[in-house]
Amino acid sequence: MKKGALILIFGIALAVVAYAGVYFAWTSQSRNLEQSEKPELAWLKEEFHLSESDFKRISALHAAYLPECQEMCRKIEAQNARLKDLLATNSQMTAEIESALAESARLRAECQTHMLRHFYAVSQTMPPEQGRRYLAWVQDRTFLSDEDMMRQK
Amino acid sequence: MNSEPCNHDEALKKLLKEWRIKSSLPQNFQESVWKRIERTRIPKIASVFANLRNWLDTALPRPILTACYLAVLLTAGLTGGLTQAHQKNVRVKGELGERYVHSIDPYQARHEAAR
Repeated sequence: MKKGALILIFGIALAVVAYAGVYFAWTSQSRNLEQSEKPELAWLKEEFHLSESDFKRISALHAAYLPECQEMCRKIEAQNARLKDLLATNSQMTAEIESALAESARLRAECQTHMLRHFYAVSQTMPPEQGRRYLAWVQDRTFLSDEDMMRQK
Repeated sequence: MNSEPCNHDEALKKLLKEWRIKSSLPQNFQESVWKRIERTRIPKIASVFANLRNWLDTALPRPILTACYLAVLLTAGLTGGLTQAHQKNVRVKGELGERYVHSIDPYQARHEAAR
């Protein structure tokens, strides 16, 4: 093969190797996060620069909170189904609908209290600066989330 | 003065009207015309390849051009890899952050399940 063609092929191969090498090296951390046992907690550890001991305590808090969260989910589902039935069978405001709406609001407040308690516990387990950052971040995505407000409309 | 060219035109017209082609076209006339057209096309394409090969054989092996060519491709590869890696990292972090929120917020978990 002529020298020119060899240089041409070598150049293309060099570009491909450079692309693949950089891509795999720079995405290795993301791949590790995705492949970890609990990717969302692994992400939390990395994002808020947690030490191994802090991470263990936060994982324990998270594991303890999950059953509470699932129970809240179940209650919200049941309450929403009840409200949906009432709205479908009535064409005007009734005492039952009022009571169901009040129950939905109470449930939401209860859910937010549980969440906030968990957020405070998690943030206090982190180093102070990271704890503040975590609180601001998580509150922005739960209590102050536009998406959440849109869903409530 | 102007009548003479008119007379010529008239004579020419008369002559053209009387003119008859006695000989017939040779066999495969059309085919041979197309073949000749094709023959004129092929060298043009071939010459493009020849020029490219010529450039590869003569210009590209020159050290300065080789260095520039390799540097450009290396930079393109590195830049492409970095850009794509950065996009993937941002996407994965965003997705995992959302996943964490969905795992702790019953309202968002419920909507996620409904999707």
